[in-house]
Amino acid sequence: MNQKEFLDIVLPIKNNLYRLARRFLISSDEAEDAVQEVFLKLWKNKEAIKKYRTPEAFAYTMTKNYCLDRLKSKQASNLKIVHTNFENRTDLEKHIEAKDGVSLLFKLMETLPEQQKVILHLRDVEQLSFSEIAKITNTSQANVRVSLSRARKKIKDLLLIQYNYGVQ
Amino acid sequence: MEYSKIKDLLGVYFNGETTLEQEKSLRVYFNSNQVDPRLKPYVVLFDAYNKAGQEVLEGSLILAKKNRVFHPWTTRAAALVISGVAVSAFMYSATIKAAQEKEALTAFKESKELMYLMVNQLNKGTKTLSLVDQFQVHKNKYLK
Repeated sequence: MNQKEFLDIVLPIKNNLYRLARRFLISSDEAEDAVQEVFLKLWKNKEAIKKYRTPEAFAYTMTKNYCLDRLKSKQASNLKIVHTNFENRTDLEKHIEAKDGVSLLFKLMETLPEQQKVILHLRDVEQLSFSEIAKITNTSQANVRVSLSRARKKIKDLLLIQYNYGVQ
Repeated sequence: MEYSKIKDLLGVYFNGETTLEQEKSLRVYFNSNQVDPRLKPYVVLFDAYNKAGQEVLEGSLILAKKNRVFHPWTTRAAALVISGVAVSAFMYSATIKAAQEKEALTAFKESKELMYLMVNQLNKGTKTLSLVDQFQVHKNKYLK
């Protein structure tokens, strides 16, 4: 496999991998580094990629595992930087509101277990099918549905509590 | 879309049973400006997912720098060449050393001979000079 073939496989999903890394690592620099590392690892194992029926799923899984490793390592202990990357609104008030809402939602997402977080991200942000998500997370489609439902319900509950200022 | 329909769809959504098309229609509805006030809390949810999906990796990725993998035989060949060069350099320097030593020895020998020759000549000279002393002795006898 030469460089061009390799890039044809992995470049289209670089943003997807970045977004996934972003859900785990929060800081954009850290997520960028993660994608870079995953790419290097994939490139080193480029012969192995051929054996996988879906290289994309392999790359996703690798990114997820890499991020989890990073979080477990000591290096990540001081890497939690506030999420501030949404700046395309002209209406300032609306912008602030949206920004608050968005960062609030990501904070809520952080409370989810890792598997649920990944599944929720892959489905609601990346809009992947259940079969693709099942391949990436190495579970059955039924499990994906269950985890997704739990994750969505938990986010909903937390969101409603926030929205009602803790009064239910 | 009317409120009841969306509410039903949301129920299905939270059970994880919506299809991608249904989720897309939910997303379209919540990102429009005609959201029913009773469904307002969910706007943030779909807005956030929408925003998160727009994030892109801005930096470029590096592949070329670190991907130079050497075959095992190239490293072996390189090691062989380096050790060969080292050994031959050592041998060459050893032969040069031997030649230099020989040269120095002959030079030493020759200069030694030369010194002997000079010393002999000098001795001859001093012997003749002793006659000058004799002259002095005899002169003193007569001239007091």
